[in-house]
Amino acid sequence: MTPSEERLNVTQLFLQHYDGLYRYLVRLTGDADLAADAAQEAFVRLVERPPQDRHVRAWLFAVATNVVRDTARARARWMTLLMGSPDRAPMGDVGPGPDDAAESAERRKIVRVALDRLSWKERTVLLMREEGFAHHEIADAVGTTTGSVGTMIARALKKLAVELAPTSETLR
Amino acid sequence: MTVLAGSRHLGDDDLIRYMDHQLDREGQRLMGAHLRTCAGCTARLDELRRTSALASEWLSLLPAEMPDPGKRAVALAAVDRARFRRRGTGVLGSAWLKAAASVVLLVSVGMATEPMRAFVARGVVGLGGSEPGSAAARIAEWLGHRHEAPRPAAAPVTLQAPPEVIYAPDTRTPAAAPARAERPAPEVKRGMSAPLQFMPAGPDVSLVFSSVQAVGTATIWLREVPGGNAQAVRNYRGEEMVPGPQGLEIRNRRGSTADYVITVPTRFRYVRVRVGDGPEVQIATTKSKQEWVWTIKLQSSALDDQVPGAH
Repeated sequence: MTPSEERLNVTQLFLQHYDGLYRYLVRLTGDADLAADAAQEAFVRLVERPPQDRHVRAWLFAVATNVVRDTARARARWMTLLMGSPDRAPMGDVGPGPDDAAESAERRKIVRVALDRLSWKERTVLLMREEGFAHHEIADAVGTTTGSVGTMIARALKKLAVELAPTSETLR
Repeated sequence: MTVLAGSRHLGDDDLIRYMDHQLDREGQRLMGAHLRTCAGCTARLDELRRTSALASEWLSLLPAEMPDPGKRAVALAAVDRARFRRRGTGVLGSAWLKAAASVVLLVSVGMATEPMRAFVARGVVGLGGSEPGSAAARIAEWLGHRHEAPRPAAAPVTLQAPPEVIYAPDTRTPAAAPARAERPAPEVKRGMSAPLQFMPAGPDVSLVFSSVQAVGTATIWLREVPGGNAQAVRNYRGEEMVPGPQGLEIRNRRGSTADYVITVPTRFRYVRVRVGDGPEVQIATTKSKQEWVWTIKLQSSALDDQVPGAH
């Protein structure tokens, strides 16, 4: 399917890619709401400014990744502001998520913590690689050269191994 | 690639590229040849493969949850809105093309008739003048039009510019939203917004308002949505809504006309909203069965006066 043909049916593209994109973003951020927002924004941009010469799936993942990164930056500034103004603490009333089995939750937590210790780019390259993207597509998403993606993946794998190898048996 | 005829060891980046089949055929062949002769590189490749497999196993432990239907519905509705806006332009363009084609066809057929030739001739004279010898007059004459003495000038007519159209806020919401009656397009004064409407939409509440704004910056200040799940819809000039430490900043240009939709998750019980220098207002989002109407004032800017021709 050519890019122009793909653009014709956004709804079909939504049904094809939304769940996968959302899952990737949840893994990337650990935040289901942020993931949903970024996935939605990526599809809205697909309608408004469709890619001219890139595969749509890779484009969606790259756009959503950038949306998440920008939002995370803004949120960091926001939180800094809030911390400086204790009288303006957030008023949100976020309810607890569904109860998971304790063991499963513990394993997830271990992996989440380890993943969060990686840099943003390292996390992105690892997760996009898991999604089966080619190195040049990953390079587009993180704003680097194709040649350096291999280096980043190798570094990220080693860091993750250092973090998780001691608990490897627990994770099985 | 650092491999050179088997004389140097491969870097980790090369091994990853080889492992992921990211090299061209020749590159894969050269590396394969090196690996067959270099035990050190082969051992490192095996180690990377083991680590990679373990990483896949670990990452698979992360939640693979699917979005709940509400989020999915909201996202699809947003995509539909964007598509609808985009299609609006396309349909309009298409309608104009069809209308133009119809006119050409009618004129072509009609030119065979005397009344139509007379009508076109009058049009040509009206456009090009009827001075003897002018091209328009010659065409009109060819069409059978007789030159007539000009009539006394009619009283001047003042053409009223059509009023600027401010569209009603978008009422398209996901299926979960309660049915609501269509509203007439709100009157919007400069520097003011139309009534802000709160429309429950699945897990979110949409804040919708139309506006005619001053040049400068309007800041919509939402306590709980620093990321700003905000969309400007029907925003003709592409004003950006930029999330920042002070809220969502809208950078207006002269004559900005836009409707804004800001989505607030209903998991927040309250949201504080401040637009420009206006007072902060606290709104309970949990009254999901109600429809809130609230008028907000947009920030004016002294910049407006500095722009030549600003209105």
